[in-house]
Amino acid sequence: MLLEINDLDITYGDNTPTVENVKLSLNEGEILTIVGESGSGKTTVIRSILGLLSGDGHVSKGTLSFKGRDLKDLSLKEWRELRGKDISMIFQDSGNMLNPVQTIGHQFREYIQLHSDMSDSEADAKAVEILKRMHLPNAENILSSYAFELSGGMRQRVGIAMAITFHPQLLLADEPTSALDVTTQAQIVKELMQVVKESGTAMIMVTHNLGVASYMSDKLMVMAGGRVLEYGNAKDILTNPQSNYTKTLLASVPTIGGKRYV
Amino acid sequence: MKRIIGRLMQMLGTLIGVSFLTFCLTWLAPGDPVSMLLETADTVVSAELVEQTRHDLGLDQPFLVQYVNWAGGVLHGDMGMSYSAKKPVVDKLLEGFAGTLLLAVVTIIFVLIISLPLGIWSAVKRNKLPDYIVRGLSFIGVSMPSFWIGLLLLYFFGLKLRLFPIAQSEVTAAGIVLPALTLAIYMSSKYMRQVRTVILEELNHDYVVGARARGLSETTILWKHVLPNAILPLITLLGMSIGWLLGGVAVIEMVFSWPGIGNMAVRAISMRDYPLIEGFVLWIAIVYMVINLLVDMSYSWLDPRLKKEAR
Repeated sequence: MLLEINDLDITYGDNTPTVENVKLSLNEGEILTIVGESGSGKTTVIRSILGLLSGDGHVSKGTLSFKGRDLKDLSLKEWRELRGKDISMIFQDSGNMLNPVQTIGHQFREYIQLHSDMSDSEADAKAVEILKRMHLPNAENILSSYAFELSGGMRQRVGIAMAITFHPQLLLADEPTSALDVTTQAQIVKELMQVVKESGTAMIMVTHNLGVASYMSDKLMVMAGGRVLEYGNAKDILTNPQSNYTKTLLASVPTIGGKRYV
Repeated sequence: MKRIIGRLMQMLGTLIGVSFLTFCLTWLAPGDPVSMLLETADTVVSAELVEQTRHDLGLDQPFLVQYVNWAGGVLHGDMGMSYSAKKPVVDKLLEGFAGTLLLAVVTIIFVLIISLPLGIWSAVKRNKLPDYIVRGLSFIGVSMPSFWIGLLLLYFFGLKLRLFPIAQSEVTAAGIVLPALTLAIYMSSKYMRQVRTVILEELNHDYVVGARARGLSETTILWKHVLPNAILPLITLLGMSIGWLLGGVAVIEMVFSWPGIGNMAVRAISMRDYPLIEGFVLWIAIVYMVINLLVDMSYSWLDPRLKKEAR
């Protein structure tokens, strides 16, 4: 088992838990999608896997174990080695996740050298190679650009490229296509699927797009109000939902010619 | 290029406005420069002499004529003669400026040495002991008037410990420490809080989360990512402070009898030395405008987003 989460509670401050009783497990190469409305706690769950809860958020109950290691026991240094290497993350707007006053190339190189002992030119060559894999033409140009100079789709491809640099075992994707227009969404989802399948990376994706979820996932989790309403095989849930919330969610997807595309 | 010309025109307009306003105010203010000038030595002066002096100084002319004459002189690089010192105003300004510039530079260095590390420390250790200490210090520093800090320093380091001179008529290396430190303590109290706020704000940005998710250490994030971003707002503040310092901090210069431009300005005002006052105000206006310009330019140089825009 690659990732196992049991009875997870996450609390911000001293209040009652924001997320309660999350339980999930993921094998190598498996794709899990977490769907739910804004504020349902889905982002909180995946951020806790990287130890990157915002503010004073913390795991107040339960265990997270990655490759059999309890993440609670990790030192700061071990966390840093894990982040960006074994587990990496794609955000809603990857452009915002980069320092606005440094070029993309500068940060890409910094990141590659952090987890390897490549020289400057080797790191740059590696960056170019990965950008090309994400179908980004003029990779050299992109490296000398700043994040604000790229379009949304390009920024997202750069974000995905960076995230897969070290062939992580687990990729966390936080609404990776929500900020894009529909055509670009479809392309990015396809490309993401391709690289994930190629490198055998497991992925947890957070989205509120059921179409994307059904297209990609092996497993599906439905969350609302900080609780897990449904969790299991994606096909089973989509064809035979148990909770009323999931049923309503599915019913809200428009049908074309009597066929529903989820 | 168009922007620069526009900017220069704007500066010219400001200068005309500022100088005219000062002219009005000094003209309206009570006190007569001629009697100030002549009656210093307890002697009775004849009405003829007063009239003669008034005429020599051009003070018998209508207000607007006086202004136009003066402004015309300035455009030719002649700011007039100081009444009290009988020297060209330009020379007086340059004399005072040397001392003020030195004081400003040393002060800014002190401010940066004190407030940058403490402000950053306080932001990183937010709501922990170091943060409370720094905030406490800054509260005390802000609450004390700067001349009072100056007097305390003078008392302890000048009078009791005799480490530094108490008064000086010339610019000396030892003499600059106490006035600069006084100003630095006062300014740092504000700066520590500013640095803290700016750093905290930057730490909240998404790019910090992004850097953490890539595995960067907190130290790298702070020094290589947060600080370069935090510099931008701090430069604006620093520019304003430098302007303030170059205007001559009269109170501090008086307390330490530092031969700077602020000290000179106070004397000029009490003597109703119109040309010197005018020259001083014009000087401050120019300093502020030049610094604002430099700050703006540094922005477009430091921030790639503005750099692209400028092209």
